[in-house]
Amino acid sequence: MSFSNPEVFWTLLLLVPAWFILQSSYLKGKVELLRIGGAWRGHELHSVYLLKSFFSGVALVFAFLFLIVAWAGPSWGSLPVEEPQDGLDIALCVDVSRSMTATDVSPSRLDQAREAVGSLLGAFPEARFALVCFEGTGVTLTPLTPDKSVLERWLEELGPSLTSSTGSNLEAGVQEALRTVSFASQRHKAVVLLTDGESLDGNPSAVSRLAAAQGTVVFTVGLGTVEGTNIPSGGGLLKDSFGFPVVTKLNEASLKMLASETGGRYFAGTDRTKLRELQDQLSSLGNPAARGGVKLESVPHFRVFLLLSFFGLVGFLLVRIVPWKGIL
Amino acid sequence: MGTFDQPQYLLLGLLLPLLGWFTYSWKGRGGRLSFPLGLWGGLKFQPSIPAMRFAMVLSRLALWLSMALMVVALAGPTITRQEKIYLSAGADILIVLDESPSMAARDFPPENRFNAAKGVIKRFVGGRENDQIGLITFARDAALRVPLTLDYPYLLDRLDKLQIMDLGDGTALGLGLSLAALHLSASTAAQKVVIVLTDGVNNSGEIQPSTATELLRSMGIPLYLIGIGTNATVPLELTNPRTGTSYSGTLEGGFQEEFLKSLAIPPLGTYFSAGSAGSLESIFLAIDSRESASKRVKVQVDNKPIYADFIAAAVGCLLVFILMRKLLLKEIL
Repeated sequence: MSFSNPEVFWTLLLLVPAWFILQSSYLKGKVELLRIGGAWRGHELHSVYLLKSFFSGVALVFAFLFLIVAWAGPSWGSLPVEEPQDGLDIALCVDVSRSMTATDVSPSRLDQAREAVGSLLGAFPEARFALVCFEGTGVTLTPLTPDKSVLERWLEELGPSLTSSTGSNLEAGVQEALRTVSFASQRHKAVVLLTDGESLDGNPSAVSRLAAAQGTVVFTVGLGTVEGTNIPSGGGLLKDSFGFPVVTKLNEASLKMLASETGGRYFAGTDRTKLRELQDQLSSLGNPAARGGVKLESVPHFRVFLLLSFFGLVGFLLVRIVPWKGIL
Repeated sequence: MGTFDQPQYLLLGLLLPLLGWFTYSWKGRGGRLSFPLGLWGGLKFQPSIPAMRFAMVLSRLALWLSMALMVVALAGPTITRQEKIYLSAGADILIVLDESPSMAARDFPPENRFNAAKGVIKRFVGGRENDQIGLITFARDAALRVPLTLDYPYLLDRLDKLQIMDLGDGTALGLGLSLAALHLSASTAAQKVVIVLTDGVNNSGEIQPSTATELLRSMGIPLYLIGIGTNATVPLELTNPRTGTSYSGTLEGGFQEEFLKSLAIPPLGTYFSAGSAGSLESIFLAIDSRESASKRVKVQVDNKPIYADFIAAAVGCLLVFILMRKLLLKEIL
C-alpha cells in the first residue's frame, strides 16, 4: 500500500486533543445531566448517556480517522496500462556550484560529471538531450535538441563561472530541467541529476512531486565522497565567514529520496559499473516494447475509506437521533 | 474541464436531506431532555443570545457542508485536459538572422530592421507547433544561438536578448548559410528548411553566399530569403554592445534586394520582401503542404483527480464543526 500524499497523516495528531475534548465534554455532561435530570432518574439517564457518548465519540473519531486516510490517497495493487510512448527525452542537470570543484574524487567532482554526461551522449544517439546547469538558479544551456554537437561544446564550458548566481539550489536546477522536457510528446522523459547533493537553499522534495505529476523520472548521480573534503579556492581553500575551511560532503540521502519518489534510482558517480547500470535503466525506459508495451499503474482506493468515514458520520448523527429507552 | 469519475456516488447526497429532517424536525428524535420551562401555550425556550444562535447555525452548516463535500469527493471529481500529441516528427527549420550594424537602420519607424526581423521570427514561431526550430545569427562571424528544438519559449527568450553587433561588424551571409547547412546535415527530419532574414549585404566571411546556397541546394534543402529594408535614405542608430559606443547617422541604400533575388534560385529558393503581405503565410503553406502527408496526430486525454482537495475541505469543515460544538457551544452529546 502506498500513499500519494502521506504528509497529511500529521493531522492525525489532532486526535489527541480531540480525545481530551470528547472526554471532558462527557465528564461535564455527566455532572450537568445529574443536575438537570435530578437524582430520581439520574442513574437511568447516566447509563444511556454513557452508551450514547461512547458510540457517538467512537463514530466521530473513526469518521475523522478514515477521512484522513482517504485524504492521504491510498493505493494498492496494480493494473496494466497500455504504454504507447517511444523514444527518450533526457534533461541533464549538472550542479556547477563551488563544491563541485572539490577533488575528493579524481580528477574532480565536476570532471566526473562531465565524463558521465559525455558517455550518456554517446550511448543514446536517437535521444534528444537538454543541458541545464545550476548554482543559485537553474540555467538552460541547451534546450531539448537532437543536435549533440552543441551539447558537447557546452560540456567543456561547465564550471562555477558559468552562472552569475552563487549558492546551490537543487530545487531550482531540477525545476528548470523539468521545464525543458515538459512538452506533450510520445517520448519518455527523464532527468539525470549530477550533483554532490548539497542543497543550501530550495526544497528538493518539492520538485519530486512536480516530476511525478509530469511523468518524468529523475535519476540521480552522486558525486564526491561521504567523508567530504575542502573546496579549493585560488591557491588555498575556500573559507567560511569565521575563517574555517568549508567542508563539503556527498549527501546521498536526499538524492536517493528524490530518485525513488519519481520512480528513478540513485547511482554512485564514482563507480563506473553503476554508470553502466544507469545507461541500462535509461534504455529500458525508452523502450517500452521490451516490457511488453504495458506499464503497471497502482490503483487508487480512497473510496473505501471515504465511504467508511461518511457512514461513520451518519452513525454519529444516528446515535443522537435514535431515542434510547425513550428518555434521551 | 471537470468531470466525475463515478457520478453514481452523487446519489448518496439524497441521504443528506433525509438525515437533516431526522436530526432537526422529527418529532420522536432523541438527544433531547424535555422538561417544562416555558409558559403553557406561550413562547418556547430558545437560546436568546444572537452570537450563540449564529454559532449554532454556522456549526450545523459546517457539518452538512463537510458531508456534502465527502459525497462530491466520492464521485471522483477529475479535471480532464486534452493534449495534442504529434506522432510524426515535423520539419527541422533553421532561421538565419542578420545581426550586422546596417540592421539598425530605421526603415520601419519606429522599428529598425533588426526588430522588424525579430517580429517576423516571433510570428513565424507562433505559427508552428511540431517543427524543431533553431536560430543562427551572423555579422562578421556566424554562431548557432539555439539548436534545433521544440522549446519555443526558450527560443523566443534567446531571440529577445539578441543585440546588433554581438558578433562584430560586417555581414557574413555566406558563413551563416553554411553553418545552417552544417547543423541540418545531421538532422534526420523528412523536411529541412532554412529561412534567412537579412538586408542583403555580404562583405565578410570566407564563404561566398552563392557557394553556400549551392551547398543547400545540393542537400535538397529549401531556402526562403526574407529581405528586410527599403532603398530610401534612412536614419541609423546603434550602440556597440562590446564597447558601449553609440553611433548615429543615415544609411543610403544598404538594401540589396536584387542580390537576394539572385540567390533565391527556384525551385528550392524563394524570395520574399518583409513588407509584402502574406509572405509568412506562404512559407507556412509551403512547409505544411509537404508535411501533411505524413502528419499523424493523437489527442491524449490527461486526467487529474482532485478528490483530495474536496476531502481537505471536508476535513476543515468537520474540524470547525467539532470545535464549535464541543468548545464554544459546550455540547455534551
